[in-house]
Amino acid sequence: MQVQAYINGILPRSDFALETGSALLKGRETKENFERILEKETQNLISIQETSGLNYITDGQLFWHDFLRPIAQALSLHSENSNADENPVTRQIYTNTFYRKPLILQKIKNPKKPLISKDFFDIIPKNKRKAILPSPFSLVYLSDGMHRNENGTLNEDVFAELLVDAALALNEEAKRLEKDSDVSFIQFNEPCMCYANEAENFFDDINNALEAAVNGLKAITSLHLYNGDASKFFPQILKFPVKRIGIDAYSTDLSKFANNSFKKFLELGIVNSKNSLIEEPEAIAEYGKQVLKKINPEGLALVPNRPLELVPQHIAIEKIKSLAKGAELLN
Amino acid sequence: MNLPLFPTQEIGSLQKPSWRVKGLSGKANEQDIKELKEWYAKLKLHDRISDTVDVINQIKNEKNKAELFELKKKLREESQIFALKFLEQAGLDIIYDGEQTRVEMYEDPITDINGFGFKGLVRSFDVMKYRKAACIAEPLFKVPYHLDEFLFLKDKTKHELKVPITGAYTLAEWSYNEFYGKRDLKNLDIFSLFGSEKLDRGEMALALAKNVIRPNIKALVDKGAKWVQIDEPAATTYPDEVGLVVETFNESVKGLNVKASIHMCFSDYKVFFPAILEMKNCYQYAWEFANADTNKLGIDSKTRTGYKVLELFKEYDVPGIIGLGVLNVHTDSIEPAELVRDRILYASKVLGNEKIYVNPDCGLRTRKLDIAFSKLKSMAEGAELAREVCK
Repeated sequence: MQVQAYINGILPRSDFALETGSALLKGRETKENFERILEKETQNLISIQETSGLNYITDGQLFWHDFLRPIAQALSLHSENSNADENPVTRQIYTNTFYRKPLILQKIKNPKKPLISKDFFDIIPKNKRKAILPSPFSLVYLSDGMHRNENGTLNEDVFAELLVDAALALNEEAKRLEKDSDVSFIQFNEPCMCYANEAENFFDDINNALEAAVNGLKAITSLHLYNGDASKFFPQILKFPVKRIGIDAYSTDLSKFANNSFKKFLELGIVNSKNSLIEEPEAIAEYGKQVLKKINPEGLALVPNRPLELVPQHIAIEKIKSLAKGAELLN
Repeated sequence: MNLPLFPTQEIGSLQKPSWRVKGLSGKANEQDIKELKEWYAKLKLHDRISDTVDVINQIKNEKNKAELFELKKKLREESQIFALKFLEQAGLDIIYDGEQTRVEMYEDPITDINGFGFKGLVRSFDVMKYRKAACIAEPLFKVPYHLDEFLFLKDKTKHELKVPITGAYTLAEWSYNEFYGKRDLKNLDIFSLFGSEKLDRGEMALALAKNVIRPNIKALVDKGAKWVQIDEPAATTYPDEVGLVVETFNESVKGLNVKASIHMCFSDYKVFFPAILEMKNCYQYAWEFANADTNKLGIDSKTRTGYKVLELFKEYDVPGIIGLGVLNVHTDSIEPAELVRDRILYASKVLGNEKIYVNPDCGLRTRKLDIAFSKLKSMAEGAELAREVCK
C-alpha cells in the first residue's frame, strides 16, 4: 500500500503578514499591500507542499478570515444591511481562534456564483489540486438563525432541511471546482460533529446531506473529523458516502478501530497542530507502521490532526516537511 | 466609595494612546501632542500637560540609558493615570488602568513566568493575532508581575480598583506544551495517545495556578488589593474541561482573603453549568452578552437574544453576581443609552436588581479611544436610566 501525505485546512499567515494585518486594522497599512503579501505567501506555501512531496496540494486558504467566511459571504448568511464580516465573533471550540457566526435567516439559496471567490488552483499541478470546504453539518450547526429555538436548541425539522440546502450549495461549488479549476480532491472539514451532542440524533440527516454534497463528483472526497473522538460514530462513519475519513489521532480512541475493522481509506491526523514540537519523520513513520499493522485500513494518508493554522508559519512548514518525509520513509 | 444600583465597571484593556506608543520610541509628532492636549483637556488633566509633553520631548533627545529608562517609566505611569481618569470621566464606578503597562493579556504574564519560550505569532480571528509561547519546563513564579502597576495606582483614585489577571487555565490552553506533552511517537503504543493532551494540559494548568497565579494574587493582596478579576477567556474551549477551569480558579485563590471574580468571553456559557456551582467564593461572573444581542430596544426575551444564558444562571441559582456585558467591543457603533438600559432591565427582570453589575463585553483595546470613551459614557448613562426605572 502506498501511504500518502497532505494537509487538510487553513495554513498560518507568517508573522510578517500578521503584523501587516494588525497595522491594516489600525489604519497604518493598505489592503492592497496586505493582499500582495498574502498572495506571495500563498505561492511560497504551494511551492513548499510541492517540493516536500505531498500527494495533494491546497492553496493554504490564506485569504480566508475563518473557515466559513467566504461561504457565509457568498450565501448571504448575515443580517440585512450588514455583511458576514460583522457577524458575532464566536470561539471555535477546542482552539483559541474565532469565527464570525453565520446567520441563517431564510432558506439557503444557491447564489449561482462561486462560493470561493479567490483561489490559486491555477498554480498547482493539475493532478494534485485539493480544495477544502466546510461540511454541511458544520456550516449549519455553527450558524445561528431560523433553525434554533429561542433557548438555543435546534428546531429539528428546519435544521434537517437546512442541512440539505447547504449540501446542495456546497455540491454546486464542488462541481464548479472540478470543472473550472480541475480540482481532483475535495475535502469537507467537520470540526463539530465529534463534540456536538446533537450529532447522533441527526446522523441519518448528516449522511443524506453528505450524499447530496458529493453527488456527481468524480474527485476524491473526504470528511475530516476533528475536535473530539470520532470513534463514537464507529462503525457508522464507514458508511458515509465519501471515499476517505480523516480523524484526529490525539482525541480519537483508535483502539475501537483495531482488528481490521476500519474498512475505508483512513486519513490519520498524527501531526499535532496544537503543539509546537516538530514530530520526527521517523516517529511518524513508525506510528503509521503500527496503524497499518493494528488497524489495517483500506488505504492510509498521514495528515495533521487539525488545520495547521494553529501554529506559527515557520513551525507549520517544518511539520509539512516532517509529514511528507514520514510518508516517504513508510513507503 | 458607596456603589449605586447597577454599578458600572471596566473589564480590562484600553487602547494605548499614540503619544504613549510613539512617545516611548521617541517618535511622537505634533499630531500626537495635539491629541494629548485635547484628551487632557477633556479629562480635566490640564495641569499635567506641560510635564507630560516635556517627558515625551526628553525621550527624543536622551542618550543616557539609565535616564532614558526612568523617562520611559514616567511616560508609562502617565498613561496609567490617563486611563484611570479616562474611566472616571466616562462615569464608571469600578476602574483600573486599562492595562496600559501590559503588552497584552497573554504575552505580558508569560514573559514573567519561568518555564516558557515564545514561538511566534498566530491568528486569533480576522486579522487579530497574538504571540504564542510553549511551556518548556515546570512553570514557576519569577516576579509578582502586576504589583508595580497596582502600587502606583492604589492612591491615585477614590474609586474601587479591580485588578485583572490572566487565569491559569487560559495561560495553559493558549500555550503549546513541549514539557508535559513530550512523547516519543516512535515507541508509543498507538492506542495510548488518546486523551493524553487533556491530561498534559491539566498538569500544566494546575502547576500555573499553584506556582504562579496564587503567589501573584497573594502579592497583590498583601499590598492592599481588594478585588482581583481572573480572566479566563479560554474557559469553555474544551467543553469537557470546565471542571479543570473551576479547579484552577479554586487553587488560584485558595487561602487568600480577596474578592475574586472571573471574566469569560466569546464562549458557549451553557457548558459551564453545572460545573459553575463548584466555584468557591466567586464574587462575580463577568461575561460577554452584547456581541450576540440585537440592537433593538425592548426587555423581552425575543429581543434580548444575547442574554439567553441568564435563564440558566437563575435556574441553577448560582451564588454570586453577573458582570453584564452591554457593549459590543468589536464594533464602532455606539450603543444608545436606551439600549444599554434595556439590556440591564432585561437582566434584572431575570435575576433581580442586586445581581447585576454593568460592563463592556470585554476589554476595549481594539477600539479607538474616542469610540471607547463614547461607548463607556453611554454605558454609564444607560445604567443611570435603568436606575431611574427601578427607583
